Amino acid sequence: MSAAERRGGPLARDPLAELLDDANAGNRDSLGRILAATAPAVLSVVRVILGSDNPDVPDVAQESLLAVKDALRSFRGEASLVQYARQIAVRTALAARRGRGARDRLLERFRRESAVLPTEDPGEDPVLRARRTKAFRGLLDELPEEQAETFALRVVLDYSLDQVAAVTGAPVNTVRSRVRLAREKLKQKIEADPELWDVLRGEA
Amino acid sequence: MTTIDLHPEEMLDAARRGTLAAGAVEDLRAHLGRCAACRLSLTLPDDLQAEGAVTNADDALLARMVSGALLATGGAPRVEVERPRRVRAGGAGWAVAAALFALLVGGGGAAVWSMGGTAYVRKIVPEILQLRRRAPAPERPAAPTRAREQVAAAPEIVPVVEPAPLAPPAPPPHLPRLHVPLPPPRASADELFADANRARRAGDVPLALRRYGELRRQFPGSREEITSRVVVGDLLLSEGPTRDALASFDGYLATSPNGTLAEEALVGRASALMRLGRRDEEREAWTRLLREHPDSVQGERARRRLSELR
Repeated sequence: MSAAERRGGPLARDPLAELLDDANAGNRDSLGRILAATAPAVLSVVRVILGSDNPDVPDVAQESLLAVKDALRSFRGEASLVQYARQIAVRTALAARRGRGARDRLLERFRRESAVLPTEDPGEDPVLRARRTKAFRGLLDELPEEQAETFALRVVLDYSLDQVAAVTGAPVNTVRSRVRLAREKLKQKIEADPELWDVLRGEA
Repeated sequence: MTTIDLHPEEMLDAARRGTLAAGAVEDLRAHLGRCAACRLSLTLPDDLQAEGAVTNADDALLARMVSGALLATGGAPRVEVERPRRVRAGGAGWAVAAALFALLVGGGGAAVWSMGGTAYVRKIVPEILQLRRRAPAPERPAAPTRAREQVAAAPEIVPVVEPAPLAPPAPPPHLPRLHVPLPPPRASADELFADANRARRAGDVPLALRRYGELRRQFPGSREEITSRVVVGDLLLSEGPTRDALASFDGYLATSPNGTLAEEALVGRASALMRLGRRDEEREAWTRLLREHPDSVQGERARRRLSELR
């Protein structure tokens, strides 16, 4: 997401959007270019919402990219095409998570999300990071649909309240209320989880 | 309840984007000291970005995604999309998609395509970053002005606040103190490796991984570090994210394709691919194991798995 997008400011020219008319007119080369350029964003979002080890990631990512393709005609240029694809991926992945939630939760009980190799930030502890992201995904399973989508847009795509409102079509105050309820639920979840509580105290 | 108590969404945004006004830092700090949810939310986008990172290892999957979406256009029956199918590599559609993907996204190098663009969390106000690294202390008295001036004048002096429990019972208050970090004694690669192995044998996996991580950062390419990649891969395979286990095995094989642990690395790689459901690559990995290590103790397992994958 560009800085301008994050601030809700004017969007830079989107070279991908210039392929849109051709793609919608049936030009497979243009469509392929759009899909190839948006696929990494889609995969990344799906991986975040389902969990990077979830074996359903390839299928749901495929499903999401198909949804992006189907939604190209509805694109109105209010964000970049890649951002648009991310929004669709959030919705598709959340729907998949809800549909497969029971099985996922069972699997996650047996899947310890712990250490990873340090990557960009050597000061960050990957074990703690995995616990935090696990808490986030657990929260998504417990929230009502609108709250889950709102919170995911806010956290996964790092959208402002205004941006979430624009994407969901809900008034800003409704978005604020949904985020607040999601945060309260998250707070309860943290307080009920001694391990996570320890992580957030920096003692783990 | 004040506005601050109701989760300061705009302040959180500003903190993440590095635009938080100086006067708002203390307000946000006070809220974060009370609100674990906001504290978690402040770092979640970066945590998630790290977890969702798309790397060159995903090229085949991305090409399949694009190919699948293209195949569903026109020719392929749309109904199949209802339950997404795993598109197998091969055929003109896949080749076109792969070529397009390579053209647009690029191939070589170790570039990481990340979800949210630049890691702008690094622009976060230093005080908030401090909170991110160490848990905030509720009701922490403000640092003495003099000490804060010293911090500003001498960046190497970092104010350190003891993490304070955020749940009842309330802890005794900890006073802030100034801490001048000294460079830690630099262990040798051999010592670090030995430390990590001791932690691993003792069952302290997080500590072992931290030590192996230090080895990787301080002595990249050393004999011990290269060897550790297989050990780390095994640890992650049993206890951590499989993708990272795969990356660790691949890291070893890229450097030491004929190394003494190549057989173990190949087995680990194939096991990781199996867990990730990347069947084509898994098939190649088992086949390579049998070709390069025909007497492998895992040969029977490899052959059994290959027959299942047919």
